[in-house]
Formats: sequence, C-alpha cells, structure tokens
Amino acid sequence: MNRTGIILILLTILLLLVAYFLPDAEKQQVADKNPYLSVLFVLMIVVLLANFPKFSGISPVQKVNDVGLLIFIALMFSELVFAKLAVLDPFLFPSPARVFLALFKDIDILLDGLVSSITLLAAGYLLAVITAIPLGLITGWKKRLFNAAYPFAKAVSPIPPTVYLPYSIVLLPSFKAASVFVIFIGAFWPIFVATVYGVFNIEPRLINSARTLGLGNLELMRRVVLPAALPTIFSGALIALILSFITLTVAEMIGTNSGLGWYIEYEHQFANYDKLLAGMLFLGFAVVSIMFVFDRVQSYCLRWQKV
Amino acid sequence: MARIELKDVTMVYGGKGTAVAALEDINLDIGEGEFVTLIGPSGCGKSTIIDLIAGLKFPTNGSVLVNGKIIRSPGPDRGVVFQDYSLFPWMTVLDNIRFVLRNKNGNANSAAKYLDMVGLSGFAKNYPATLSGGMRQRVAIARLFAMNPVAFLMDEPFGALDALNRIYLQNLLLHLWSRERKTVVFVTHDVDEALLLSDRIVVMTPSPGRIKEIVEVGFPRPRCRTTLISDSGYTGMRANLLNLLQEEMLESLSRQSSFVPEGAHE
Repeated sequence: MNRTGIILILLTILLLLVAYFLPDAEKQQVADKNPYLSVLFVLMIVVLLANFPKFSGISPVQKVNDVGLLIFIALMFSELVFAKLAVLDPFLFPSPARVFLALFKDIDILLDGLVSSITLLAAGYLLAVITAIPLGLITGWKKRLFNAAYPFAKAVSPIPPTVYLPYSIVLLPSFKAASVFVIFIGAFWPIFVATVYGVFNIEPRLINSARTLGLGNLELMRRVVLPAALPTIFSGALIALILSFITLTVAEMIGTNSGLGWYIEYEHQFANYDKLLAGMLFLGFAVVSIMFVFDRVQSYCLRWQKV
Repeated sequence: MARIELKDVTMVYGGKGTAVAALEDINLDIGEGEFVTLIGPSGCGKSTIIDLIAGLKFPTNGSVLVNGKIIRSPGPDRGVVFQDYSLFPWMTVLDNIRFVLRNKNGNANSAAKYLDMVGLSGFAKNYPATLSGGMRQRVAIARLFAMNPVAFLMDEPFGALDALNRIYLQNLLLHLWSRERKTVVFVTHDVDEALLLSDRIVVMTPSPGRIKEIVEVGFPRPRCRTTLISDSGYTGMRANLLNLLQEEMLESLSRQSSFVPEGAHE
C-alpha cells in the first residue's frame, strides 16, 4: 500500500466523520444522510481494494488514487462550503447529502430515463455508423464521387444538428423519431468525414501489396480498405459519440417526456435543484460508462496496432 | 514456373510537357526457373519493372508477357514481396498466411507448415507490429511460398534489414528456392546479394531507365557464401559490376551537379 493510498483513505474517513458529526447549516439539513454516507463508504472501499491490486485485480493503483484524490477534494469542498457553512444560497447550491438523497429517491425514474435515453442514442448513433462507414469508404475510394460529394459534405457537416430539430418534429411522426433522426445527422458527418480521410491516408504501398494478391473489389474493401482506415474511423466515431450526447439531451429537453435530459429540464421547472444536480450526476455516470464501453470496443478492434 | 518477357517496353510518367521517361526500350527474356536480379542506381526503373510484371502498372508502349500472355491485372500467379507493407498489420502472422490460402483448400495446418518453414511457428498469433523487420520479411517469404505463384517478384525485400538479418534471409531464400525453383525477379542495389542469388544480373542505367548490361553469373549451385567469396571469378565479377555501377553514378552525378568526387576519373 503506497503513501497516497493511505493518505486518501484517512482523508475519506475524515470526510465521513465531518459529514456525519458536524452539524449542517440550517437550510441544508436533510432527513436521511445514509445515501450520501454509503456513497462515501463505497468510495473508501474502492480505494482500499485498489491499493491491494494482487487481491482485487484493480489497476493501475496510482491512477485510482489520483482520481480518488480529485473526487475527495470536490466532495470536501462542497461539504464544507455548501453543507456546513452555506456560504452560497442553499436553494441553488444543495449539499452533497441532499443531492445523493435525491438521487436515491428518484433512482427508478432515473433508470427508466436512462433506458429511454440509451434507446434513442443507440438507434441514432448506430444508424449513423452503419451508413456513414460504407458511404465514406466508397467516397474515399472513388475519386470522382469524392470530387462531387465532398463540397456538399463540407457545406452541410458544420451545421449544428440541433438546428434540424424543429423541422424534423414537423416532418416525422413522433418526437422520438425526430430525436433519433437528429442524433443520426449529428453523428453521421464526423464518421463520414473521418472514413473518407481514413481511406485517403492509407499507405499506397499497402494497397498495392493487397492488389498483388488478386483481391476482388468487395474483398479489397472489406479485408483491406476498411481495416486500414479503421483507426481514423474510430477517432471520428468518438467525436460523433460526444456530439450525440449533446444532441440527445437537447432533443430531450425540448420535447420528450422521458429520458435524462427531460428529467433535468423537468426538475428545473420546479426549481428542484437537488434533483437537477442528481440528474446531472447520473447522466455523468451514464456518459462515463458508455465512453468506457466505446474505449473497450476500440482497443479490441485496433488491438493489432503497436502499443 | 513461368517465362517472363518484356518486349520493347517504354514507360512514360506524366502528360505532355512534364513527361518523364521511366523506362526506354527494355527487352528482357527471363526463362523458367531463372533467378534474375535487377541492379542499378535509384531512378533506373528497376522497381517499375517489378510493378509492370505484377500488373500494378502498364507500359506506355511494348508488352509484358508471362507465359506468352499479356499482363492486364495483378493476380495471385505472381507473388510480390516489397521492402515493407507486404503483410496486413491487422491480421496475425498466421492469418496473413491463411488469407492467401483462402481460395485454395488451405487450412490452419498448412498455414502453420509455411510458418514453420521460416522458423516462426512460435509467433503464429503475433501481429506484424510486434515483430522485427527481419521476422516480418520471413513471414512475407512464407506467405510467398504459400501463395505458390509461378513467379516471385521481390522488390528490395532485404533493403531495410541489418547485415546479419540480410545474410540470414538470403540463405533462407536460397535454401527454399533450391527446393522449388520458381522464376524470380529480384531488385537490389547490393552487388554481393545479386552475385550470391542470381543466374543473371541486369545492370540498369537511369533517366531514362535502360538496360546497360546483362551479366551471366555462372557459379554452381548450391552456392555457399564463404566458398563463393574466395572464388577468383567472384572478385573479378564483383569489381566489374561495381565499375559499371560507379560509371552510372558518376554520370548521373555530373548531370545533377558540377561536383565530382576527387579521384573519380583515373
């Protein structure tokens, strides 16, 4: 167990004690502190486990400790400034205990919202992936098609996807369909452009080498051009994914009655800022988890690259 | 096995005004099972000849024939090894070989057999990026034999390797080739490599690329590096080749600049 680990665990215990024993400011008092205290406790257990990597398999220790330290600083700051001293307006700046209580109480609604959000996101994003990659491959491969299509792509791709929302709502049968469409449009262009560039930047000698094997066009595309362009495609797909989160939440805030974006907007209308923050926190977790999955898929698909 | 013929081949790059002649009046007849090396300074068009036979490029004039048929496209009957980029980096070593066997009834076992042939059985599941340059070229050679083409086209395959690896791969190629005498067209700028490997050495001259001289290398096979070097004929032939290349180098240098190395004109 290293020094940072020991310090971090002691600090977390200190935070637990502060949160439990020191009295909250008047307007920050909360009926049930257990959700917050459990979260702190779980954090402490995670740090403890991470510092015995042989036992838990969590690695790398240093990274966990450093991230843990940042989380501690953020929590300790809000605990002291918001909960105990109430330096800022308690109405707008709820204490961590209140936020975690809201999260705990509304967890069913949030989970339903997550399912709804992920459905929209997956539909729009995957639709973009399966259309943009083949189209990008062909456009990057055929010089003439590229010359014709690229000026168009260049003009259309910078338009913020949310701009399409009002018109899509009018044209499409449901709001969900409109959201999926807008997410799709937003994700399509970054993947398409990256795919075209990926094909452009393939080492010509690699293509020549492949052609000497006597591959047909389809086989050349599938077995050579696609994998060779894949690293670039992934960088575009990452930008597309980040853009999709933005498009998704904006779309939900404007018109749906489910989803995480809707939850945040809805609670905002009732000025439930503890719930609003709980929604944001939950959304953050969801985004981090999706990015984690993306990262795993990427490293699996590009496992042949030199590390 | 294949007979390869280049008849009055001329190759011009670029359009009117900016046209650069890469090859001019190339006539070359390579017999079945013959090992021919192309040697010459850079820009002499030796790699272009490989590309023409491979079907990656087409002559402006003249024709390139393999077994009497004009080359119209690349095909698996002519196996090519380049200096690099021969293997697909996203396939494991074994999959790279399996890939060229895909249309034959080749399976994992026969792919493994070829890998064993170059002594890399232990690296079947490795990706090319994790191998050294020498090992990658060994896999490329294994793949070449797995393809079982009628002709081997090798474009400076050992050019990027260190001296020891180069010797190892030259011996390996000679050994494998002695068991299956394919027609080989081999590009190099290493005179010793050319002498060790080939039946004939084609010395080329740049801008435009032409054949300057064809040297017969009559040493008996199987050849052994050490006995070859002590052969009196070897030294003479080596000196002759170096002379031919040096003339070329000096000519192209004097064309490019006024600087001529001291003692160049004896």
